[in-house]
Amino acid sequence: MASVTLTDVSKRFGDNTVVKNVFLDIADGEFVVLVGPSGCGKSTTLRMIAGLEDITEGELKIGERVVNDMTPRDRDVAMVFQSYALYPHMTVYDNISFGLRLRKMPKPEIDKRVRDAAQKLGLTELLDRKPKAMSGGQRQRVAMGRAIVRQPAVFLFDEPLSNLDAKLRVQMRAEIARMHRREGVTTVYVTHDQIEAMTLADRIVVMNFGVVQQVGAPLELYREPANTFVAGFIGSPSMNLFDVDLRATGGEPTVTGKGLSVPVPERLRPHLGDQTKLVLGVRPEHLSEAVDGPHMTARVDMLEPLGAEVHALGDVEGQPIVASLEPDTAVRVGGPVGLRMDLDQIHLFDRETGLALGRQAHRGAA
Amino acid sequence: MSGQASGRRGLVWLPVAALIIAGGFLAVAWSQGVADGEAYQARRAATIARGVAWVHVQEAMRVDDAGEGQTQRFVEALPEKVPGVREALVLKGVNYKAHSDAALVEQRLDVDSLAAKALYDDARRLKANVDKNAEERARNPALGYDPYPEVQIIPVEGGLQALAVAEDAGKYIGTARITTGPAPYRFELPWLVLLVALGLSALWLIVGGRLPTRPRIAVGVLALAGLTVAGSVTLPGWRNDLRRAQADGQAGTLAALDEAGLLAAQAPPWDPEEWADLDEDEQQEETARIEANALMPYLDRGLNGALEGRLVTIARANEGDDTRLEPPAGLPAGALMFAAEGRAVYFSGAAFDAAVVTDEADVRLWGIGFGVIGLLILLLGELGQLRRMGRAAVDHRGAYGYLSPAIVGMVVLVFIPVVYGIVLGFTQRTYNIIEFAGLTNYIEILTDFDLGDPTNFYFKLGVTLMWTILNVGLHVSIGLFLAVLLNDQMLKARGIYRVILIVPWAIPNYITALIWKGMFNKQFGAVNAFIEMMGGESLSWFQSFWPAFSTNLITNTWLGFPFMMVVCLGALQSIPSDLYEAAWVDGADRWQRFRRITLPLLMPALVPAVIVGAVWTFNMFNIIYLVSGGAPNGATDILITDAYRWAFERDRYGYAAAYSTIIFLILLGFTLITNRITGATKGAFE
Amino acid sequence: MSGHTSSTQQSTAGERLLKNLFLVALCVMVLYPVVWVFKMAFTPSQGFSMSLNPIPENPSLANFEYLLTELPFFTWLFNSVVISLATTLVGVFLACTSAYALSRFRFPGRTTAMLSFLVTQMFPGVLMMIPLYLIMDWLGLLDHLLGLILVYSTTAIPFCVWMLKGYFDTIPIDLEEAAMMDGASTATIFWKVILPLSLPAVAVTALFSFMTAWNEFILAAVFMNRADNYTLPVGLQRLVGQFSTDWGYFAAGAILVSIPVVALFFALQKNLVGGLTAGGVKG
Repeated sequence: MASVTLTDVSKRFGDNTVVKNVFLDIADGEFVVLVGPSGCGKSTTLRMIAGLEDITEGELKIGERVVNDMTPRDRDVAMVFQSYALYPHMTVYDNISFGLRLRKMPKPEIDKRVRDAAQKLGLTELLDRKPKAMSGGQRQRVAMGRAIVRQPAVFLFDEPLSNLDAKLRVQMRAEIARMHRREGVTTVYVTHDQIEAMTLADRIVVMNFGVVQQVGAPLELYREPANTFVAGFIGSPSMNLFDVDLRATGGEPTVTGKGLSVPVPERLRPHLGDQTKLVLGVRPEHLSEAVDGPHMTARVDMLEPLGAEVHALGDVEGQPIVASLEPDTAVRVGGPVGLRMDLDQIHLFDRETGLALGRQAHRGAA
Repeated sequence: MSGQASGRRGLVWLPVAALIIAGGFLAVAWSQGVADGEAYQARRAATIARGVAWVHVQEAMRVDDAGEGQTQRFVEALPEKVPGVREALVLKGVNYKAHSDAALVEQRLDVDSLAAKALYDDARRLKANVDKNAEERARNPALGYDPYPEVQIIPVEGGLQALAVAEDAGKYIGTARITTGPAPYRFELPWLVLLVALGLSALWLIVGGRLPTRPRIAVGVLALAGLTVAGSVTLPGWRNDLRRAQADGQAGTLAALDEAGLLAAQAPPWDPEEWADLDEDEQQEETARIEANALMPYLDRGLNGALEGRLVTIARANEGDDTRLEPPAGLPAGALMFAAEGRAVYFSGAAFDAAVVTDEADVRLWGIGFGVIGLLILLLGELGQLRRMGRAAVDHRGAYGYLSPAIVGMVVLVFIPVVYGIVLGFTQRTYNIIEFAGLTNYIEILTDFDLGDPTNFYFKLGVTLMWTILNVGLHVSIGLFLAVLLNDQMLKARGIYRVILIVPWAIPNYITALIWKGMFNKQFGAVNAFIEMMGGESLSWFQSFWPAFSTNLITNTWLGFPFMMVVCLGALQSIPSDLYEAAWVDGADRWQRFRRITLPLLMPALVPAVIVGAVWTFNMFNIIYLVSGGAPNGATDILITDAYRWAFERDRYGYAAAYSTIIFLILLGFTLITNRITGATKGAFE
Repeated sequence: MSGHTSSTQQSTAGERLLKNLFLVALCVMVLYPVVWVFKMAFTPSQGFSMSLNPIPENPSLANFEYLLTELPFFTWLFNSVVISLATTLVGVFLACTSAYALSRFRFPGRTTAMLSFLVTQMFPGVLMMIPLYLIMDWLGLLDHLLGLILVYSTTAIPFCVWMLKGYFDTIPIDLEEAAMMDGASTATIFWKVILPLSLPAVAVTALFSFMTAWNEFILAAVFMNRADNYTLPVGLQRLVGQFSTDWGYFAAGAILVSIPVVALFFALQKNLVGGLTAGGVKG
């Protein structure tokens, strides 16, 4: 078991930089999730940790060792692939024990470890099967077994659940969380699914265009997104963002956009600077129906009743908006709805840099 | 990386190039020494063998005189008197008439031993050649040479073995064999080039860094060019060594003659060392003195005639073959020739100078080749290319490692022969001399529009195209049709049908070809029998073009459709059935489904197979050559078989090579164009 | 559409009868020449006296007896077996490694290498004989089994590489990466993961290499001078040349030469479909 430290790590393919100056400290036993849209460099980062990609620049440490030039074999890491990558010509037993056999571990020890892992994952009955004769969930378990059995210092997961159907995904997600709790092994997990990220992670690393946008605990990211990208990416449905201008109305700073105008709450005022072109962010769940004194009026063109709440999709003078309303709302499709923001929960970003007011550009995890 | 460091590193290239050039000259000098040594030894062996044969003639002539036993005395003296001779013997019939191992004299050959049998066979063959030469000379008194070899030299373990016929006035009386030791390597180190290269390198490393890049490259180029020229000019020639070999051989034989008491009677004795010390003029004088002697007619053939000559490497003067040898053009009368393993050797006084000049030019060419390589290295190196290539090689060493064994094999056994073949297309051969001929062959091939001639290129091209198109068309349509039939899951026996239908693919195609040739036999063939049974009239299949062409076509169709069938089956099986179901729902009928779904989805598999099939058919040698054999009159030959005939039947290898280069270009063009249109191999290149 | 899958046609019983009739007729046509060879082989006379009846009138083993006792048949057989097996081993090994490099690595010169493999298929082989002969002479490999082995292996390589590369391309790269994570070296990955998965294609490759070596006679005839170095096809060809009317011997020889290769062909034919088309049809 070990910590993983990335110091100013970059990856270039030719002239194309896919990962830019990543700083990341992953503590021993921590579960870190890399999340971001496809092509954001999260998988490449993971593969650099695995040793499947060369590191163009920077330093990668696992534990106390710099592993930049080590082969995967020497890094003591195990990986679960999106496609599971089970060897089709080997039985489950052989698949799981392959790595141990390559390390010339004594037979009885191998057998013990394989059976242990199979036990934990409920694969004992399937040890003689070939991957072809198994369901997706079972294959996924075998892939995990193959990683567990090695008892590596670090687990790497590359979108392990994306090939499963929704129900199995929830189930396996729980299983991965259980496994991490049980084994306590440092884990780096890549996904594009923010729910997986939020539910599994000790800390989440949000990436976009090869750059780390924010690192933090799930709720921290939800509550204090560092920039508009994180704000839009974390949370479902996404945060509503409106272009607004800062004005002083009667001595009180106010932000005004198309069809809306709200005073800047007290807690944000110290961060106001010279910049007058801002973005106002408010999560759907922080909007509520208001008959009197709404902040804005939206026209609803779709309602998504989810049971516990209703998502109303519409626009405010052409700007799309989603609001999470009470299930018994009287709003109808095509009709207007007056909305109030919970001013304690709104966010303001610099329109030019995208950064939340009062934030510096991210320079890696603290 | 600082400018200084990169400058220093850049300085490496001239020394590297200079050392490569010097190494090249070293290699040339060494190989020249080896060739020289071999030639030397071959000459000496031939000379001595002739000498032995000649002594044997002497003895035969004086059987009644006091000279009896001369042969044995001479032969016994040889290993001792002539450096390098390991064994000498004279064979007459199946008995050793003389042997350097005295115990074997008058013993019978041990016919069970392979070596003895080889000796016996070779002796018999040479004996037959003596008779044939006598016949030839009788028929054509103007003939200045013996067209069949009377001397044979073959390499044996650790040396050479020369076999010469002893004849008395054209009548065979025995065979002499001499075995000599290994050929000496007469290697002279090209000192000058090595010193200049080293000096240049040192100077360069010290001073070169002060020069700006451009002038430096120019100076480097000049220096290397100078080195190359100097090397070429000062390369040790082998002409002198040939003279030495000649003197050695002659001296050795004379010494042995002397030892045997043969020379004393007729000529002043010659100590071998003394003889070697004589200069050319003195030797000639001395030879002239001996010439006056009664032995001269034999010496002339046996010694002098063999002493000057040239080696011409030809494909092979077949061992065990009494193939008539033609002398190179320009060889004057009086030449003698013999066959050695891999070579025919022609001897003649006057031809010698010309031959040596050619050889020296060749050597210089090699030197210049190394010079060019050196210059390339310098330029590439100075311009940083080589470093980049080196880095690529290191970065991708895994890939290159995997690829290199196959690439080495391919380069040596495929690419070099191909390039060599292409080069040969620019040459012509007169007798056994290969000369550069520029585009002559190509012009001759491409500007001949006499379409009535069955060997005309355009006529052949037409036949070949028709052959290819018809074959591929038949293969594909039959193969596809059968594949569709067999792809029916309801057909119980389809496994059996499939197995039977690929039988033709499994049988070696030359066997197939010969079988079908038999089936098309006019009197006995099954095809005619069938036609007669059906009430038709049996046909002479190979008498006219169309029937002969059809025999080839039928044979090749029988042979070729299984490949396409298997390809189509594979592709059909990979078409997902829901596509047919969708089309079914859309109301497509069976033909529409085939036309709109099966065919388009087959294309990715079919197109590459068709291209490969077309290339194979275009070059399908065995069938044409073995079934119709080009009958009638070469009309059904395709380009490839005709190229073969040009090379091996009409004996115009350069022309044939040009021919096949054209074939190659046609196919290359075809592949590139179809590729461009269909993107067939795009998948393979991803 | 009915339950059975992937059938292009939903055939009725009548159609199937027609199909069967047609296919049976075709099989007869395909097999007829083969049967004919058997007839000649088992007919003691060397003549060609053929009727349509493919059954030998008074069968005898005389032809085979002659081949096996009067000719150095077993020497030739030994040579052919050694050459063919060695060619298969060397050829398949070289083709596997090159195809693997071409399929898995991106490196400068890759396209050139692939193009040149393709291009060599187009140069008329017959005309390479003299250059090859000279090179063999230079390497001292004339009249050596090794010479033929090398030449056959290299001539077989381009096609084998082409086929194997197509197959390797279909093996997901994930598997190799997984093996790498499991601690496998490149060699282990190749031997334990890639090769076992490519068995159908390797089998087909091996089959073609073997057939190339087993069936070739032109180069063998040129390179091999001593009768005890002949391969079976050369021996057989000499037979036809020597006694141009000895069809009985030829037929018997043809059967003996064909049996091993035909047997091998049928043993591996199940792999042909998959092995041949993997490159062309993705999925």
